[in-house]
Amino acid sequence: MDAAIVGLGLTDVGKVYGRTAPDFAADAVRRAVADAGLGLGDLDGLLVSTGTTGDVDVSLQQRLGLRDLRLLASVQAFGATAGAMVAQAALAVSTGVASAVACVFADAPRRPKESAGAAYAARRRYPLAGLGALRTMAGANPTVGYAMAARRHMETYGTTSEQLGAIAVAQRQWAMMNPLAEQRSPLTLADHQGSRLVAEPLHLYDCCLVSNGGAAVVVTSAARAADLAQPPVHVLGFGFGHPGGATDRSSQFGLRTGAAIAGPAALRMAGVSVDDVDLLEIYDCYTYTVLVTLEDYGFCEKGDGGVFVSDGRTAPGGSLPVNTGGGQLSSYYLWGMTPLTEAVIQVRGQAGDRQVAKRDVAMVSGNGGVLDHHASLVLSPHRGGSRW
Amino acid sequence: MVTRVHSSAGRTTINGPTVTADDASADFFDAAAAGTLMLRWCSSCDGWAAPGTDWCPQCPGQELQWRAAAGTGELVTWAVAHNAPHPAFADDLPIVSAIVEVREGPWLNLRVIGSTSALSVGAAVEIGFAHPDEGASYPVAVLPSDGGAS
Repeated sequence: MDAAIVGLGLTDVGKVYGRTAPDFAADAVRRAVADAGLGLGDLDGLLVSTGTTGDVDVSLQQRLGLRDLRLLASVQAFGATAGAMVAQAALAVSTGVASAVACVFADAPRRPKESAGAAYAARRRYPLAGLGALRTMAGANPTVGYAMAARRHMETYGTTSEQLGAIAVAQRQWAMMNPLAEQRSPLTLADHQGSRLVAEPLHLYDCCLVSNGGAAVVVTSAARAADLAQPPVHVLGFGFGHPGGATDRSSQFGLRTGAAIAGPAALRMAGVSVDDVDLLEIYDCYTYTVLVTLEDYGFCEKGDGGVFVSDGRTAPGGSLPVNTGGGQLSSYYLWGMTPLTEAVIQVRGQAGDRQVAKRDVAMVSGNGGVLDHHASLVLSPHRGGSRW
Repeated sequence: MVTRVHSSAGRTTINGPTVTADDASADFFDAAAAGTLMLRWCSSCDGWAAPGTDWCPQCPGQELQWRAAAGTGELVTWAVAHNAPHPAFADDLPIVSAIVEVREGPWLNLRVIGSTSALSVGAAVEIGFAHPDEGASYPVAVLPSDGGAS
């Protein structure tokens, strides 16, 4: 692969009202292009994540006044979309299909004076006719689905709520050093354990934030990247995993996810192993996904994730920095753009107080549906094939 | 809406959304009204699949048909929802949502009726049926030891 992320655009994020998802998307692309030292007219590719509502679509081209694009598509793999977009952009610039591709996600679910939970509940559509209604009658929704996954992991491997809480605590410690993070007050394990139950076994502090905002990256060839405004973040590898539905006893639901397919594939393409990975940015819609992804990527044995995260290993000062901006739990929730944006900032060496010391190889995950879709990226300040 | 749940362990009442059948699901919901769980079945390999599956995953081109299941199973996993997944559950909180492996093999997402203290992996459940005053009947999972609570 011969591609690099050269531009990063992040709008105001969080409780930001009065702007639509397309507003945020256009702003994010504009910022990413400027960050790269390019003009909008330099783009010849645009990939848009249709997000939770489909409000952002290929009409973003008109909004931005882009002419003669050679690549334009909306991409939907839910929480794995950011990885899917970067991979498609990297392939496009590596093969000459396009030379500079912007990838963008934006969403605006939050409304003033409304809780984060209500933001999604208010616009969720419940199937109430036909066989699709059976899940509604069962009380299924995404949080309940992840709670069932976490419960199965707990019952099978002995994982505890306190171990999940350790993930939330570690990420808050990172967030306290991140000026972009929404939640920057200290969080203790007792706070986690004392927070209200949303869907047992998940407490409030096992669940991500809900944010309004947008994020974009610009991908170009590694050769061109060297001449642009920012330190290049090279895309060394990517992989995907889609395990299929939890419909019968052949399913590994809750125990093994698409990360077990995607992670090793991405590492193989990059020519590195888990031992080479300096930091991870893991999609953390719930604390549990961090734990199971670390297992599935091979950073610890299957079933040992709870012990692995419980001693501060992933926190500031630990041996394996994970979700160094606070993640979706404590910083901001922009689907797969949350881990991707933080990875770009860290790999560039621009993370300020929270900058990790060693940043030769970063691994980024995306996870969508209820563990239905997984994307992995391997990023580096070094060009593929070079040694460091 | 208040809904009566019938199982061999007794009767109880629950609240939940109103569901309607469509053409593709009429056989399933008609059977539910009569207290029978229907699954999809392959006449070629004798394999079973969850409702909503059209073709046999094993046999090329083989269309599945409805067939009555035994109506028993065991818990694979569950969650206890303290926020209402649908507004119609608000008066019943918390509610238990589970994946049940029925005896024939397929997994079903079902609401569990009964005490949360009885929840455990592999716990035997019986498929009961909710019969609302309005809308279609639908299956629920009943923990037999305390299904008689009301």
